Amino acid sequence: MRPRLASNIIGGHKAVFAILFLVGAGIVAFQAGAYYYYQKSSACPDPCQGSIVTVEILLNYGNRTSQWINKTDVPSDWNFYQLTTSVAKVQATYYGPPTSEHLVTGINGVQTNGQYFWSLWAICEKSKAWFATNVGADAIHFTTYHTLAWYYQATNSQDSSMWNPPVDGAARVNAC
Amino acid sequence: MTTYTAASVIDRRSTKVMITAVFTALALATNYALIGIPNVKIMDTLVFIAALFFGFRLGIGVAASVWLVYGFVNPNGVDTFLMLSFLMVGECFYALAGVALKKSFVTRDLVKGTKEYQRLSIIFGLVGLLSTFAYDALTNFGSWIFRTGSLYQDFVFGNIIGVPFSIAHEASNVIFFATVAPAIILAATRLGLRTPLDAA
Repeated sequence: MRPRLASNIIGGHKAVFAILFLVGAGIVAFQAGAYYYYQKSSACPDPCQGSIVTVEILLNYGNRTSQWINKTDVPSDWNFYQLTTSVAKVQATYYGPPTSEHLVTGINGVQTNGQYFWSLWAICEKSKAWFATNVGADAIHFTTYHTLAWYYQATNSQDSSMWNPPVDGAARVNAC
Repeated sequence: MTTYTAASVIDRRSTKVMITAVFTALALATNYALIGIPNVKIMDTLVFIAALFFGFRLGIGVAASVWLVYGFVNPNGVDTFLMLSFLMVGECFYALAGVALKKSFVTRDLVKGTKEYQRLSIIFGLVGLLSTFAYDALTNFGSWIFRTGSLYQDFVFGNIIGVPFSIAHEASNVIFFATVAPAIILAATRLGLRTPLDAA
C-alpha cells in the first residue's frame, strides 16, 4: 500500500522529486551540522566545571549612572545570564529551542522602552577593547571573557558597529 | 458602459499596483502580529504566492515594498541600508521560487485538475525549504559582512551564529509553504480567480 501511495504522489516526475529531496536532505544535514557546531561552541568549554573565576560586570544605566560589580566567586560553568540574575533584578523573555536564549528586557527596574534597550558588551582579551557580543548572555562563558557590561542605550540601528561602547571614550572593536 | 474581461482587468497597471498593495498590507499585518515569535512569518509565503499568481515583477514589488516598511518601522530596530539590500534581494528568492513553480509541471497538473494534494504540499514544502535556506544563507552573510576581514569567514560565522534562527525560519516556512500556499491556490482556483491555470 505504501509504495503505491508514494508512487501516486510522485507521479511521473521522479527525477525532479529526487533532486528536490536530495537538496532538501542536504540542507537539513548542513543546518544540523551548523547547529551542532553552534551548540558545541556556545557550551561551556573545557576546563569548565569545578573552578571559581573572577568576573567584572558593568551596569551602565545610560543616564550617567553606572555601577561596577566585581564578582570573585563565580562558578566557571555559569553563563552570563545566570551571573546577571545573581547580581541584579532581571526581567527577560525566554525563547525555547532552537534559540534557547533569554532576551533581557529590564535590569534593576530599567526597562526596554522604544529605542532604548540593554546592549551586551565584553572586553576582547586580544585587542583590549569593548565589542558588542554577537551572541546572547546565555551563550557567554567565563573562559573567554572576564569583563562584561550591560549598557542601556538608545539606538535606531540594529548594526552594532553604530553603537557606543559602555565606557565613554573607551576603545572598541567590531569583532573579537 | 465598458465591460472588462477578467484577464484585461488583472493586466491593468492600476490593478497590479492594487494587488501589490494588498499583498504588502497582508504581509505587514501578519509580520507585526507575529513580532513576538522570532523568524516565524507568513510574509515569505505571501511573496511566493504573489509571484506564482501574478508574475515575477509583482512578486519583487511585494518583496521590496514589505521590506521598505518593515525594515524601517520595526520594534526590534531599524536595518542599515546595506542589510536592507540583502533582505530585499533575499526576499526576491521567494518570488523566483514562485515563478519557477508557475512554469513547472506542478502548474500543468493543476491545469489538468489533479487532486493530488499530497504531491502539491510536498513540492511546495520542499520549495519553501530551498528558498528559505537561500534567503537565510544570504542574510546571515549580510549581517556579518565586513566584520572579520574575510568574506569567507563572514559567511561561515554568520551562518553558524545565525543557525538557531535559520532553523526556526526554515521549519516554519516548510509548514506554511506546505499548508497555506496550496490552500490559497486551491481556494483561488475554486473561486474562479485568475490563477496559473490561465497563464499556463
